[in-house]
Amino acid sequence: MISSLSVIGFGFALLVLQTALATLVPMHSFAPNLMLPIAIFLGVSPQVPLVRGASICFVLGYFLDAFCGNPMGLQTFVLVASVMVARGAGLRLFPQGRAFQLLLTFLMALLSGITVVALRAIFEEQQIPGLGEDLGERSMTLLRSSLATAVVSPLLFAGTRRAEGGSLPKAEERAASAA
Amino acid sequence: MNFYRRFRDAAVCVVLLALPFFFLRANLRDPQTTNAVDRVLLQFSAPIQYVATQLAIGVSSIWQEYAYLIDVKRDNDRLRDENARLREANFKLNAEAAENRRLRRLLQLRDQLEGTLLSAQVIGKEVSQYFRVIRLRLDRGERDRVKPGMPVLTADGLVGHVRRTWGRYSDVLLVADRTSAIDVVVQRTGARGMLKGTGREEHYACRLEHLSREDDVQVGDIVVTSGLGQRYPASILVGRIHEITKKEFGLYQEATITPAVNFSRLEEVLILTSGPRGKSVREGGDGDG
Repeated sequence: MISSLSVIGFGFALLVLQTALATLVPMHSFAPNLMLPIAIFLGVSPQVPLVRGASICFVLGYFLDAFCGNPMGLQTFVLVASVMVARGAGLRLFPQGRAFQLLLTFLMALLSGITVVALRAIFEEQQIPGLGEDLGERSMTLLRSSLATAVVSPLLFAGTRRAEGGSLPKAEERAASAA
Repeated sequence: MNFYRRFRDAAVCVVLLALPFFFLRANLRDPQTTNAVDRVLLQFSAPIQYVATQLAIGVSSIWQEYAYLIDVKRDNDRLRDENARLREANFKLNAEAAENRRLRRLLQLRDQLEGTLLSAQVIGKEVSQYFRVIRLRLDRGERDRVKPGMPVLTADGLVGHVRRTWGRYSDVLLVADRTSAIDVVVQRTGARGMLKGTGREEHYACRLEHLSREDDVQVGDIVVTSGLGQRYPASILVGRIHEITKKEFGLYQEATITPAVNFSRLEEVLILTSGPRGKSVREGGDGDG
């Protein structure tokens, strides 16, 4: 419970920081999705049960929607889905090195971006004409944002690991030190 | 138990995934096409969304206001510096303008007076305990052919005369000094008297003595040099009558004169080094006392 709150607090602090930085440094399309690496970490971390990871991402997604002014549920759905996809795809592959982490994060960011665009296109098509147009510009924005997310992901993995690992059960610590 | 746990976890995951999906669907759907389930979801989600949005807005606004305050502080510092620079520049310009006005008036006086006038800078002021100037020191002296007794003037009127000189410096005896005595006339009536300094330390004042009892004098009358005594040219403004004292008996009446020159503000003066003494010249200023 405490580790879950720590991760949520960490994510919330990141959102606040990003909001503050956005007013000082215009990042435009290079703005990273800071919650996605947390979701990926929770998805691939064997210590974190899937239900707990999904619950944390549900809350973080909700905050992200609120901070970004998204329709309610958009990022919440994407983040919860990301945890599940990461759990399914990267559980065994993630410890294979930083390059792989970056690649996985980049691909996951692309996938989540495409999901967001697809969801909006599906649900908003009737209300916003032309949402599906201008694919070239949207693709470039998606690539830039995914790249930025991948670049900052090592830091976020480390931060999430610290927030999550700070409250590991003592039995696990003893086992880890014995090994 | 294990099966139950797996089932529970799967159910929770499905709920966590389905809930935002249906919220999103309900939120983004055209209001014309929402059904009863969408409306229930919207009603359920609206308060939660409101709380979350308010929280986000609150936190964001704190940071934005903080960032705004940083900008304001930066602007404030810059404007304060700019203001200080402009005030300094303005002060310099005002000082130069005032100096310009003084020098112009001195030039006008030089044109009006006959004889050789030497400009001098006040480089020292001996002041009383009441911050009144007792004696002036000028940057002209023997080397500039300045001699004791030479009249010292400004555009406002008579300052006094050179008391002593040495090297490049000279001291001036003010008309308000206790040892100063000048033959003067009241400009309006021609009444003649002897102007003596009172030497009072708290304010500049002179005493007009030997003024005939029958002479018509009024408060505010202008007093100028008579030109007698060959020390000062005639008609140089000295001051104005401030108060008249007429005793019940005696041949004379007395008046208190406020000097036309404010000795505390003197910066440049003219020394009359040669020329006709006692000849009439035009009055050299208003003399506001």
